[in-house]
Amino acid sequence: MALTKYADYATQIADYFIPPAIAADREAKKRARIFLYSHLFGPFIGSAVPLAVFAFDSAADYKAGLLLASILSFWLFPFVLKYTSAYRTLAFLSIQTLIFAILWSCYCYGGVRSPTLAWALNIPLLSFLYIGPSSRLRLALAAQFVVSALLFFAANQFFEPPPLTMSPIAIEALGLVSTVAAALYVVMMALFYANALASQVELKAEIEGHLRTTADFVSATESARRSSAAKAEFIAKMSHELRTPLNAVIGYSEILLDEAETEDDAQSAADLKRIHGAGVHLLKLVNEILDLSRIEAGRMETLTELVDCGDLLRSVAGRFEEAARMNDDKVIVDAPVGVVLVDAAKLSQVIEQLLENAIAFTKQGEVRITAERIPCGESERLSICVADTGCGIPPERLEGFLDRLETVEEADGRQEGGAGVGLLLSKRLCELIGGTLSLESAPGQGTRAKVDLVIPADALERADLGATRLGAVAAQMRRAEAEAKEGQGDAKVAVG
Amino acid sequence: MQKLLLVEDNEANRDMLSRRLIRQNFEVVCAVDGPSGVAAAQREKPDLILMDVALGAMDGWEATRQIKAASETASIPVIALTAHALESDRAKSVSVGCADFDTKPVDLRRLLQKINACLEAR
Repeated sequence: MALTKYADYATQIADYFIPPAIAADREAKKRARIFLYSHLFGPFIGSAVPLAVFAFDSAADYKAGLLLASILSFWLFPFVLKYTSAYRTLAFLSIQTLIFAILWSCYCYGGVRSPTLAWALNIPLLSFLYIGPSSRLRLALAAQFVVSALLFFAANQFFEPPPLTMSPIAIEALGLVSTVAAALYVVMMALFYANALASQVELKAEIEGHLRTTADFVSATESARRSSAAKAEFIAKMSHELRTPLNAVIGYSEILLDEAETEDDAQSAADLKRIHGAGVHLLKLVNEILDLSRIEAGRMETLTELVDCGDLLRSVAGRFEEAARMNDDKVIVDAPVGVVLVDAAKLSQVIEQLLENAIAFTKQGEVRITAERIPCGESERLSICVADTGCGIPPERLEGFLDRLETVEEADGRQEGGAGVGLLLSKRLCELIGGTLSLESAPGQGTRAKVDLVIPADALERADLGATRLGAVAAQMRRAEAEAKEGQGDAKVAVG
Repeated sequence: MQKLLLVEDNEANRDMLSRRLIRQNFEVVCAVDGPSGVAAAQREKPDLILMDVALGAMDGWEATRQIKAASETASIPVIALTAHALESDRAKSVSVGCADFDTKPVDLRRLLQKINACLEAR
């Protein structure tokens, strides 16, 4: 266990020198780690050889010094790697330095019989660990070995090796130190290699990385949730703040209008009507914008209930009697669809908007509201159509008409702002209650606005049940009424 | 003349709605918060109560609950006035025993229909 801990420390030191470009690739990172282990800790072991020369040879000179310098130069490699990321070049350069150090020591201290020759075994071991599985690089390495060996052979031929100045016993002692150091070096590399293979550091780092990502994600989600909650809070507050003064504008102008009409003050009455109308219009806009924001913040509630669709449509149409009369329009409701399970409040709001538009764009015409139930697989569609005989919408404006907040020119050429907000809201409301809103129109051919709601199968069953129940209640009431009448009749007879 | 109790904390709203209701030939008494609304209901025995629900410390829902809990005022119909036309408000108005609910700003014609319906039902 203790060994693993030290190995983990060594890994941390090595990782300090690994540049980000290499750390990103797990295999490259592993190789760089082995490279760094050998360069960081190898010189401690390797330098034992020149130091032993200095210790045993009283005539030791620049030759031992050059050997020591070449071994210590390995400590430069980690720094160069950290700041250049040129791993491959450094690996080849490092192998070349190693070959030089080993061959140099052999050349100086006894040629092929040199006690330092054992180190040559480390050359292929290290170099193949450094470069990884690429066969092209392996071939290059092999070429490097051959060229180095040839150069060494040539140097031996042309330059007489220096005479040995050490005693035979000193040579044997150097051989012992060198062999033990080489063995230690191999053991160290083997241990590091085994550790690198089994290392949990990588896995831990990866898990930590994932945990960090998860934490970031959670905090981002949380902040999004908070900002959405803040938005909803703002909307709720604004809703109150905007309505309160509007309340006063609408209410007081209504009181004054009432007084002006009682006192036959036509001019004031006309002005007050404008103030009142503007207040009502503004309130409608405010409500629509607040509703839109509420839908976007996901704070719009829905509530389905059992309603008689025809009743609902007739009641909405009833609110437009006066507007229709002013435009000389005929409003017809034809909706023999019975009881349905829908969000009645939202549906009313949508139909109200469609009807308002239809009447506004139609003079001396007809607005027809129809509804039908269309079987659709397991479920059923409720299709409601508001069709007018008005001026219609030109094709170039029909595209995306529901999504635009634009000024709409009314039938009499008057510019009416804000109609677009209502239509956009209607579309969103339809989507909210599980339906769609679409428009069909052509200039001079009127406009058909269609609301399509999908009613799920289980809702249908409940609606049927509800219809039965409503029917039963109605029947019961009729019976009770009839009985009451009979009772009265009986009583009369009795009295009579 | 029918007597209405209007519980509303906003001065302008209270003044305006009471004047409009008086013009419609109602006798109107006002209360400015929840506790005084409950007390006024006991004292005045109105024919109907219009209850603003956003009243500060004791809200209109709680005041309505107390009015419905007291035997001498339990039968007085209460119409809740809310700022939002939310389904949760409607559900809540039913749960505390309101006869009906309407949204502010008040549409006088619609409110009068509701008031008259409640008074007729009594």
